[in-house]
Amino acid sequence: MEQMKFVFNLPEFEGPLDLLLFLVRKHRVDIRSIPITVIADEFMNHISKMKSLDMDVTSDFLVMASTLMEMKSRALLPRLSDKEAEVFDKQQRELFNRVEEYQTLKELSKRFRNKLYEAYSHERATARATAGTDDSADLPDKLMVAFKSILKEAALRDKVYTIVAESINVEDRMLQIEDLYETIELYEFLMGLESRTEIIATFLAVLELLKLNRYILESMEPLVIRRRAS
Amino acid sequence: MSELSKKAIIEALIFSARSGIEPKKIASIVGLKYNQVMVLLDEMEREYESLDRGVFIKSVNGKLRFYTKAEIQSYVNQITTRPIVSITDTQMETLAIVAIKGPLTKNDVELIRGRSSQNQLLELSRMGLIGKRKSKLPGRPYLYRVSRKFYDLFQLDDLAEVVQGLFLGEGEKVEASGDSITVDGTVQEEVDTGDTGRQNQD
Repeated sequence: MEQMKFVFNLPEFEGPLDLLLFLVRKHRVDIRSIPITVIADEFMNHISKMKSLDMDVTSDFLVMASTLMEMKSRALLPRLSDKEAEVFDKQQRELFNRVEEYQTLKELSKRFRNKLYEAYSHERATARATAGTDDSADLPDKLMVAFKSILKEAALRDKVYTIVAESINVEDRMLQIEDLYETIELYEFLMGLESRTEIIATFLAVLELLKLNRYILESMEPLVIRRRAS
Repeated sequence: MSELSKKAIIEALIFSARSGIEPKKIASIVGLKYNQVMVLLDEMEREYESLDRGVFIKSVNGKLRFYTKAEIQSYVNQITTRPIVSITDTQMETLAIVAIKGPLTKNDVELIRGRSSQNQLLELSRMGLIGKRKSKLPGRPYLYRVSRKFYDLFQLDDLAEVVQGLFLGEGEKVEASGDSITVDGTVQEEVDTGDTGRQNQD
């Protein structure tokens, strides 16, 4: 079936190594037992077929083709020196290793895919711990404490700074917060503000956001709230 | 009697730990020796194999979790929706390289695949299956490795279960002797050691 298909159109290859592997497999033997000249010829043949079919012959194919041609020419020439023979041998070994490595990779990637399919038939089962984690009852107190200590700070500051009258509105503040912050460490966040009005408005905005469930309490100590994933 | 309650605690721990729990941690919480925990876990695993149970204990990346059994997946399917992650063949190849040989650079990946792998790496990063960090190598290239999410998605405990009998990087194939060949470390080592594999070929 596959052979038939091959007569009419060329299969697409992922890259030169893929093509090389395909050519080797057609021989049904180990790559090491095929003469490099044969492989090189078949590879070139294939490239020209691809070209005649107007397929995209990418540069990596051309690189491989030229490497193979170089090796073929080396193989045909009488060896000049031991050193050259050694270089050729090494080059050939490297190529073989790469093809075999690629073959291994294909097998591996198949195994990974099977694992993935296998994983799809199992669903993680969890249970939630019942007691101890629900401390949201303390939230109002905690919020109040935070707010009070911030107010105290602000009162101290008010003695030093001249407050520029500035109208801050809770709705705008809420939008700002939602836009800018994903998590808020409440104490630090409020401490960073300038005036008492700003702090109050911001605090109200935070309360409102919590009430609307757009932010949720992440941790009590320190007091951190986090934007709910929409 | 007391053993029964220990098992109950272990069961509860495994169920409620957010991303699973290591046997070692169980031992320290329950106040038992590691070996004792392992014995209990062994018993529990057998108990969960019973046809009356719908879940079983599975270790993923060293952490114990409960998973539903494959046989009842058609029922479980009806109440859960899990996004199917589609991974193309080229991405899977790239992922396999990163999983087995990582951490490694993009260049290493491309050398093995014989072609550009930039897109695959980018896409895999976007899916959260691989992570990268800067290396101290010349040019400060990124080193890629698989993430915890990868283990979660593939529900893999140890890469050895996939690698079994295959060695990437040596052009050498060795038949595995049994199912429990090596721990992660040794595989990694053997994968990394040079190119002396050719001589040992049969």
